[in-house]
Amino acid sequence: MKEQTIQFEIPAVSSVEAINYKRKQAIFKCFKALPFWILISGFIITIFGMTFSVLLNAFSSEWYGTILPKSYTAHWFLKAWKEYDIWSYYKVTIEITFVSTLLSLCLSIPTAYVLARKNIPLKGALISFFQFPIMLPEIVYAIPLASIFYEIGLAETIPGLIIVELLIGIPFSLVILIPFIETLDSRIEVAAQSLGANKFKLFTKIVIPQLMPGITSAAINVFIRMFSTFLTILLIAGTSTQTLPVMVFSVLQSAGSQPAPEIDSLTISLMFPLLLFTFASLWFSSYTKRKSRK
Amino acid sequence: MRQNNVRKKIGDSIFILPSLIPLLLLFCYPLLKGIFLTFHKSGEAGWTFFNYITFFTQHNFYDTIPRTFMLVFPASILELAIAFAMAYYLRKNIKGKQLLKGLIIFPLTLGPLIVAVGMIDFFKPTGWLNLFLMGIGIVHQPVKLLYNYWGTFIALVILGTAFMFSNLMELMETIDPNLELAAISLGAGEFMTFRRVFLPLIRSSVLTVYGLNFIMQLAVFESAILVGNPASDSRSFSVVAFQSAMQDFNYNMATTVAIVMGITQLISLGVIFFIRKKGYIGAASTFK
Repeated sequence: MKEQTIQFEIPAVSSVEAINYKRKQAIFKCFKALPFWILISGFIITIFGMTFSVLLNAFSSEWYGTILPKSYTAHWFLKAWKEYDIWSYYKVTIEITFVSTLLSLCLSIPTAYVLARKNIPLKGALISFFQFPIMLPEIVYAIPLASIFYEIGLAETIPGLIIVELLIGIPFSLVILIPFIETLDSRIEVAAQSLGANKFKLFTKIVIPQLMPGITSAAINVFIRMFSTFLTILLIAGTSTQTLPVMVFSVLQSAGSQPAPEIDSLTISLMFPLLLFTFASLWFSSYTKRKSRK
Repeated sequence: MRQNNVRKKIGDSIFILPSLIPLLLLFCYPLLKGIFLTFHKSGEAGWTFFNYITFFTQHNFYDTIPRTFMLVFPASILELAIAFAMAYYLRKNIKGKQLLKGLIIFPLTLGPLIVAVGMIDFFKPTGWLNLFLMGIGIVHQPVKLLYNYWGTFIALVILGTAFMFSNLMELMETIDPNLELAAISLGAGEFMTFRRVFLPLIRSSVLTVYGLNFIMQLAVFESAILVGNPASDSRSFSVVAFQSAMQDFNYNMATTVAIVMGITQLISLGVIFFIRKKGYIGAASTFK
């Protein structure tokens, strides 16, 4: 069998014309992309400008009307830490969020498993109900909640704050965990059951170890959310049990009396843990991706 | 056999309870109690519409509805435009796409409180933005962008754009690129493909995201207080509700404001979903 070669007739185009056409195309492409780049860079520059001006302002001794501060000092930062006792606020906030994160994970893992794996009545309705507290703005339920908490004496106490944080913790862990469990191979669980594992053993030996990446990412995300919860805590926390964001807000509200660098120092103290956890979650998600590829 | 099945189902349902009960107690009960509170005058027994009548007859209460809309509606349209354009462009594989995505979503991580502080430093009369504008020579006097309508507006736009962008990015990645390639191969130009293929496919999901963002922003609070003018220009629902609760200690009135806000949100969502219904609703990805 001979292979037949098919010949196309190529229209003759001079190389100069081709180069011109290509150049025109490239310029046209740049023009089309330009507005998008202006938008994206403008948005990012604004965010960067905001973040950096806070940073510089906190560590500047004097900054008025120039592009960069005249000189730098840590004086304001240390003063803010001393005056507002930031460390104790850190302790309270981290204590509350840590306990509450653990609690909400313990409460939501079984639920997430059942909702992802089993066909139970009202499944769809339940899943949408669990997302309700995320969708509704806090203030709609926060005000009556505050009045209830004041009535039963849970307001202005640490346990009260921990309980309130569950409102964020449970829905968020479910939203993250349910899709995660759905991606796991259910045949492993069936195999374990067929080899005689009871429900408890199935959970501790099979489900939880497989779930570890999902649990970690849920924990980090819930922790970030709780750390910056604000309105509900503001309505329930007294002066003795304030969390860091609430304290910063109260200081800001009475602004004018405090020098700006001090307020910026407070804000940086609030920003730092958030950034830390965000990077942790980014690193963790890339780490699990790399691991799953191997 | 069937009985066994039913028992199994009930046995599984028990595991729902640990997370259902706290939510019922912390979320449903307060909501019901809130509705109950609105029908009672503060400190008195007996059912009455007093709080609602007060809300809709007193200027400083019913004023919050137009004021909030005046802020949120223009802001949300602008957010949609910016977020959609950015997401549409970043859909293609560009170098450093992940980094750009992360930077755009960054304000969501910071939250309204830190964004407000950052704005105070960046947009103040001696801040970088005004220095830049005066340096170019666009303005000769510093522009006042804080503690008025524009302060809250800018804060809303920054946070809303980040929120919408993060959602739109996910949506656009689910759209099957082959559909667009098919349109282009059949001779449609880029704009035509966008209008006839891409837009109809993504329209319903975009409206859903827009609706969620819109109702979230109707509850604007921190931005309204810290960079707005909570006494007049940015007197939103939440500000009034919060003041009634924390300054007048009138939980009944505060809850009434919050419930009116909730109803306003539901109506807005209803309108947006009504618009959404008029076009194609369905999957934008084909089975591969």
